[in-house]
Amino acid sequence: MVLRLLAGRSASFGRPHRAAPTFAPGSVSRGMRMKLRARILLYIVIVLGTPLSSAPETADLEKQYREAAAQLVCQCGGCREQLTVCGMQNCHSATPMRAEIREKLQAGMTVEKIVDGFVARIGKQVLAAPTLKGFDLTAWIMPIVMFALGLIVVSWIVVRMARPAAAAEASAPVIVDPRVERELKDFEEES
Amino acid sequence: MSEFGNFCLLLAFCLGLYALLASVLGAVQKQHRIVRSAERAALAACGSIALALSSLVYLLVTSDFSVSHVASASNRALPVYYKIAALWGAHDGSLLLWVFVTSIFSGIVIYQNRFRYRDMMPYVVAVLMVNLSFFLCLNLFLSNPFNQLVQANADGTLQKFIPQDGRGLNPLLQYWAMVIHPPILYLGFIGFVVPFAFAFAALVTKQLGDSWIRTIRRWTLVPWMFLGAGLILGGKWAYVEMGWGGYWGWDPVENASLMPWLTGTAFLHSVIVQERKGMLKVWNVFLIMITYLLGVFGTFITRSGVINSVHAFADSSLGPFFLYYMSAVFFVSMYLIIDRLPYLKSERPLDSVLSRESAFLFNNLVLLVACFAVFWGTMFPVLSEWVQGQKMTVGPPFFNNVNIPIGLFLLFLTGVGPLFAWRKTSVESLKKAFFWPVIFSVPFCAALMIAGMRDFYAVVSFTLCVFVLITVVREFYKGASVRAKNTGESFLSAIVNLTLKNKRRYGGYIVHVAIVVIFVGLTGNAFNKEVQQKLSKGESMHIGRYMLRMVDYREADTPNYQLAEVKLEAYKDGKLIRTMTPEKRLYKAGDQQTTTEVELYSTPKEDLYVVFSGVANGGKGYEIHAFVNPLVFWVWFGAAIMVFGTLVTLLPDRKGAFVTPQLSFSEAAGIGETLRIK
Amino acid sequence: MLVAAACTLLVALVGLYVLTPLFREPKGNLDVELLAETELDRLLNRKAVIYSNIKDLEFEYKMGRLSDADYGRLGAGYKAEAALVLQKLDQLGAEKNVDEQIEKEISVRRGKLSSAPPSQSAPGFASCPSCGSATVPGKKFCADCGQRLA
Repeated sequence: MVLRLLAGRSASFGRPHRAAPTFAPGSVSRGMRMKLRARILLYIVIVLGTPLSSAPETADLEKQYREAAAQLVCQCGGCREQLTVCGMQNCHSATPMRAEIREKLQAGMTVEKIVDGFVARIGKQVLAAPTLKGFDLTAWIMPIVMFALGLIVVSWIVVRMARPAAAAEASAPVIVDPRVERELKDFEEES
Repeated sequence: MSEFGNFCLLLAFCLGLYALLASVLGAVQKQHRIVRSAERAALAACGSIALALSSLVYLLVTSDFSVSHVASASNRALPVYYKIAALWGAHDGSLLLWVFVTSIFSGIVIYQNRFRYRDMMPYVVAVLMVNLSFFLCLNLFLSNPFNQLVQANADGTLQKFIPQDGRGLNPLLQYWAMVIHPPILYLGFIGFVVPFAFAFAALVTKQLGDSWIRTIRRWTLVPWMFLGAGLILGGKWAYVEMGWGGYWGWDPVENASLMPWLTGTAFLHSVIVQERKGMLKVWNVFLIMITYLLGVFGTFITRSGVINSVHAFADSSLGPFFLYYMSAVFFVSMYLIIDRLPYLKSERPLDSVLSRESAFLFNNLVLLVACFAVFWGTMFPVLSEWVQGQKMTVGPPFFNNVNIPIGLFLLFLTGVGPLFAWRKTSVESLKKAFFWPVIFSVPFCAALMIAGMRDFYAVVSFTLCVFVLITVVREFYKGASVRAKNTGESFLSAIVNLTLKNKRRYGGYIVHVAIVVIFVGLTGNAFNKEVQQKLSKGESMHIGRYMLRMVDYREADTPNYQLAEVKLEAYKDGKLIRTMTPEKRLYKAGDQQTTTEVELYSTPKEDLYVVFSGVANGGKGYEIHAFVNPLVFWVWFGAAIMVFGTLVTLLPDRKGAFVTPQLSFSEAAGIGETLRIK
Repeated sequence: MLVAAACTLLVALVGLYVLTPLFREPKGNLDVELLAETELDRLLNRKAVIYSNIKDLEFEYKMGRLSDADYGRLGAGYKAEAALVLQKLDQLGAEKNVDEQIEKEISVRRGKLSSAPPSQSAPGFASCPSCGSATVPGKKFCADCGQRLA
């Protein structure tokens, strides 16, 4: 069995099962397990691109790091989560990306430049949200447009539906029936 | 056993088709006995599905790995309750659970109404059976849990294959909330088929008066409650199992279950307007159809793999079928709605623009826009790829930016709605009604600003929470004092009796309180803190008022998994509160997946959330990721209030003129008929 | 073998359960028209809705949410509406004793189900001018032949 970098979120509910029919007999044999047992350390050891917080990071840098990481999405192919969220350990995508952000921040690059760099290299899917340019803008605008349209339609309906009431009220003959009062009293007792 | 299960499934499918054909035939030919037979077939289908489900459970419990579902979702070392939960650990089994839940709902409805609504029931049965047969068909022919594992020999012949052990249940699913989360969510998703079936039947039989609305009142509340509870349970699971410190990630599957909840909420509100005023009939029929379709769409998203998701069961072969089914349902319903428009006319006009009725209309609008925003964001990647050939990600930044304002506006409407009277509110009385809520919330807002809160949304949200809370409290207070004065009861018993007398209104207000409480919890997100640090034994780290001191590290072994854990002493303001042991687990079965076991110290004010991320620097340092998440507790607590409020609304009605309709001719005739038969 | 036996047994049981109504229940027609919500139903229900609206209005007024003028006007409007419904019920002539009405309705149904000749309709009921079968008050059309009724 290949030593795989495994993870919390990437291995999703269904995905591991997709390979179900390709069972190799003995793939989980006893001997293998013994080896695996010794391997737990291998699985949980963190691989760090750059030593984390080895240099004293200022709060400002950390804030910038979070800002950049929140705008970018892990590219491992499974989770599609923000770098701040992706919990996969030793993720082959998120880990180097995080390291790169820290490195570049320390080299003095701005958050914007770093993010742009990722977009230029990987493509727009690395961004966690659509941009405000071109077709992507429709993603942001459509909910607002729908809200505005809805508001107009609902207001129109309300006003239009309310008008006949006002008209009817003026002209309606008022019928008075003594039974109404009597039945109303009974109604109270019943309910 | 697997043959038997498979056979039961096939039998249920045949029964479903028979019930569908027979009920339509019975209705068209007006042959009562055929309808009866159809109803019995539907009930028999439920039983048959229950048998199929039992046989799959039996296979799981006895670990029969010749069956592919058992081999892929379970293993020997799994505790029995997780073996049962492995039923929904893979898509084929979870589809069977889905079918089972659907059949239970259908069966109850058919049995409950065996003497009532004889004119509508054949069509109700038909719709339920279309729904059931569709899912059964998928379950039987495309995603069958009883498939046997086979192995190809060298000469190309196939041979039965039984692995030594299964691949095991995905460790992420091995958590209590996850064990009950899927069934509860399913109850919510699929429950909306019942109100939809009644709406459809009402359209077909042109009986668009009040009776179908009356029948489905409970049938809408029940799935709505389950869906809400399912959503929050899913959040709880994500919070505890995923280990990233949050509970809601705007994942497509989460979105898919949020959407029907939103439209369902809209329906619950606008249906009141129809009941009282005979208005909005077209809109309500449309809403319930959309809600049902969104439920199916949710299934589609989780199963089709169209959209990449954490927990989408990728099985693309199902995709087109869902699309055909949904479009068929949509177009047939739309045709019926348009054809029956004359029957759907409003009975009365709107009395005034300033009224509860129009407030409800705006509430509907906002809920629908929220639903649209979620839908749009979820589907945008697909659209983008189609239009500009560009892969896209639409993640939390998008959903948060769009939905937080909408959510706050909704919260505002929750507070404002009850201030409007039915029919007409004068500006004068509105001023009076707004007085107290504003008196409380404005100074509260100022106090928050003075206290140094600068997050705009958080300030708005907390202010609105106070606003809504005051309106609801005043609603109870004034109602109870009027009642106390009228009846001479004590104030407390007046509150209880008031609620019991008008369960829907006051139960609804309790749910509003729940929404406020949940919003308080959600707003806490704005103040989350996190610190990630490497510790060696004896070292400590600080986060907020807390200090964590690393004491020990150990590794251990269980039959199911191996674990490594760090022992930390947690101090709050210098005082030891408890020892925390976040774990890292390596599951032995299947893919040898690792999971993080979060350690939580939860108080109403904030959660201390500690994750052990791994060993660094060649075993010398231990990476600890700690979060302080304020107010999370209130999300779970709010969910509990929500369920409580819904249950109050669902309490059986006392006898009353309005709440229990007089025996109508149709009912009387139904009873008369059964009398005759005996 | 065992499985096959179980399956056969299951099919037999289910078949028996499902198919018996076809033979054991009467062959009578399911008269949708007769079972449908009648005008009387609708009016009674409408009346109940109006009354509960009035009750609600009174309650909201006592809670101070309505001005005196609004309360007076809306209340009068509702009561007029209720009076209108009562008038319609009077026209149906069926409002006075609903129970009796239902009893009659049932007896009509019984008569029909036992496939009695159409002329033997329940006493005290109007009959269709075209076919002679019993008609339900408030119906626009005859349930049997579709003749428009006055």
